[in-house]
Amino acid sequence: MVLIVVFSILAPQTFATFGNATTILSTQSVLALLALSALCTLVVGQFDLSLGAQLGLAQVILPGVLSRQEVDLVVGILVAVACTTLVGLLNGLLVAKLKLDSFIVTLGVATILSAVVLWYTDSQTIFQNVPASLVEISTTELWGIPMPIIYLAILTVIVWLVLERTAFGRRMEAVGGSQNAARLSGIDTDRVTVIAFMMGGALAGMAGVLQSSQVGSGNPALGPEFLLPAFAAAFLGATSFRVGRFNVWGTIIAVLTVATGVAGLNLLGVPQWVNPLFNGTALLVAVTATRFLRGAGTTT
Amino acid sequence: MMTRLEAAGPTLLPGSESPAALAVAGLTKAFVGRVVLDNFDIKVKRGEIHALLGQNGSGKSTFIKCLAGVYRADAGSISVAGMALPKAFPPNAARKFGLGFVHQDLGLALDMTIADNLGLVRGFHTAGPFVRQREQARSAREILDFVGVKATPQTLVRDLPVTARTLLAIGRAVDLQDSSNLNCLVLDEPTASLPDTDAHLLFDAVRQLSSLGVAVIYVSHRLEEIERLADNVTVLRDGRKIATHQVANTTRAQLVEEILGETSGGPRGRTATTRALDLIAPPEKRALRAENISGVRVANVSFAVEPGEIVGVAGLAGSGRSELCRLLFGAQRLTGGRVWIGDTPVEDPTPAKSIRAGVAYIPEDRRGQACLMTMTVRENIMLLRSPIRRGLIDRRRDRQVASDAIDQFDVRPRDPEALVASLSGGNQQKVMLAKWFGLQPSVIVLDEPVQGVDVGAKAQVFEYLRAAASAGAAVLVVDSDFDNLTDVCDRVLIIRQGELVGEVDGDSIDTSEITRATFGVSAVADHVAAANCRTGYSNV
Repeated sequence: MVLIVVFSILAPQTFATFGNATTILSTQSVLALLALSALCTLVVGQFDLSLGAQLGLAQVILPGVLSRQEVDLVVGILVAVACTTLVGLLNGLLVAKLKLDSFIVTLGVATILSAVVLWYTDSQTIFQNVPASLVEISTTELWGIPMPIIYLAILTVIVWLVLERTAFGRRMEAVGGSQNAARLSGIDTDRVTVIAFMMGGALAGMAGVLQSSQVGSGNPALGPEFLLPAFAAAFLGATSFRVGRFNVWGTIIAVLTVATGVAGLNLLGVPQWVNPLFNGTALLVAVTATRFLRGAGTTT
Repeated sequence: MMTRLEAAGPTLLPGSESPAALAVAGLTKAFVGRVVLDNFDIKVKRGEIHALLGQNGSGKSTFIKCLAGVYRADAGSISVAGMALPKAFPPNAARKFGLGFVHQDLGLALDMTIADNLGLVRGFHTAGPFVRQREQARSAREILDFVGVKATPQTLVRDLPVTARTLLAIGRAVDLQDSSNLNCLVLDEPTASLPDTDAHLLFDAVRQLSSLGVAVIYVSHRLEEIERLADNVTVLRDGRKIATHQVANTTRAQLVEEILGETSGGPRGRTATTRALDLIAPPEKRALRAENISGVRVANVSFAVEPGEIVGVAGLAGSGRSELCRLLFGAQRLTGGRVWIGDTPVEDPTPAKSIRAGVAYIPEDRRGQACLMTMTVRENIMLLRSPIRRGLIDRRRDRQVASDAIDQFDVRPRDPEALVASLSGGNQQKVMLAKWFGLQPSVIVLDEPVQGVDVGAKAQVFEYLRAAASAGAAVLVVDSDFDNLTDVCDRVLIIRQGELVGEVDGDSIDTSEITRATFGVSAVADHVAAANCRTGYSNV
């Protein structure tokens, strides 16, 4: 909010326009979805560093199956999301059943996924024979609102309901709070962890679907660069709304805040290196703030 | 009693004029006005094995921490081999003064080799910036030989059995090249985690050290070890030194009396339940029955807790009392035997199955295993019974039930949205009672329910337990403060080294009785058995 006001004053002609607002929102919808995906695993106390690569996988598989196998658009989307959900299942099983460190496991899986993407695309961007219907799902508007914003809104509400309004969401938070305490409360911590990874995978896949529909192609190089901003948003989100805890609305606000900051800086014409500086600083500030806001007494 | 002939080894300086290895005079330490160590004196000669005895909270740990430089004493002096230590020094300086410590957790890096573990503390043999592996291995082998561990220096500490780890930790504290370097070694309950059959290996190592002229301070709860090993024994109670004896000139019974003090009175009146709490009455009255259950640290334990009964479990640290609770609830794998809830056995118990069978378990480690510290009071209380309406949590009812429970269990502050981490220990425990009692369990198992809980909250916690029992629940309580068991229990089971060895009930429940039984003072144990035959338990 502060950023919006600041940039509105600094660049009144370009910043504070409706066009700019919807641009920020719809260009950030992919990142916002990935941030929600990161949220699912962070809530159970795990890191999924393969989310970026999962996004990359989904956004080449969708145009790939559409152009090569000429399947229906809906089938294509289901295939893409199913693939990343399976990757989530694999991650979850490795972490929960084999008790491996999620950090390392998902880093390994991410690297393998990037190999799969290169093999599948033959290192070429997939854009030939991609049906126009793919782009249409992103470019159409409903009541003047771009569809990506509507998809994001729907998914955000669903994730919010699951995490904060269901017993399963409570159990996820309990597992994230203390595996031991959760287990001694009769919660099947393994199952909760695996499902959290699968939810994260499904959302990363949807983010990939949205990404490929926005550009109408599949770029083998795309994906990993979304990872850091997504985590930054989830951590930054833990500093607002339900302070000290990962939460949906805080995450969405954080995505928009960071995007607003970057967009504002761009409109002011600052040099390119300022963007990554802004992103990195936001992440560090967010992590530090979360640590302190979680409060004394939680560390032993 | 063993004599210390070997103490007169070649390295021991002759003559009585050589100063004591450790001399402590007038050591005093208080925390926020409460004196925990009061004018404590102790003198340990070179080559002497000096045992330190006392109940939990008697000041033993405080004394050791003052020696180690963890605490700074308020008054008094410590001198090592005639050299006075400065008033305050950092923990890493203690080694330089010739003081060595083997703490209960040993402090070994499990995933490093033996050689590296030794190098970490004693310094590495280096050539320039590089570690000289062969030298390192050679000196490691020397130490392994010395303490009698059969393993290569390249073995990972993780792969060593517990006994070998303990011996290694002792060896690490000793400098073989220059044994005069180490004046005094403090062993804090070194046998607590050892299998009984291996204790003699540790004793051999300790005797060998003493023969090198090292003074050993040996902290243990096990009187028979002290008889076998120590020359002298000092008893601490309420922060004060009660007495120092030659072990040869004392008896177990005398030591136990000194540990307890004269003040340990007879049975205290159990206050009647003043409130009937409808919310915690179990729908069915079911007994808890353990049939020959075994697991880690617990062997072949059988007993029963009837509905309406509060049964205590008394034992020393490491006796298997916590493990017993974990086994009953399925938090730890049962290797033998069976747990019955009412007429149904719980097959391969897991926490989930036990909860379904109507068991509640509140573990000792409140921060790590009981409470979800980062979540709110409401979420903790409601975790296992979220009110669901149309697939979603009914937030109004969620709040309503939680704040009713907060009122009923008198949780302060009365804020359902407060983080549990921000609550005092007593209130955290009340949140746990609210969480588990809300499930209306038939069987309630509590491990140290009032540890770190203030006096007022303690009385409340006990009142809730009595209320639950009188409403028909079967309650099992582990508490290391036997006064608490005396207060709240109908009878008390005695566990020693993983086995039930006795039971104190009826009129004979009193703290000193329990303490004698846990220490295994045989005459009293017989007496307890006799009392059992006489009174026989009758259901409330």
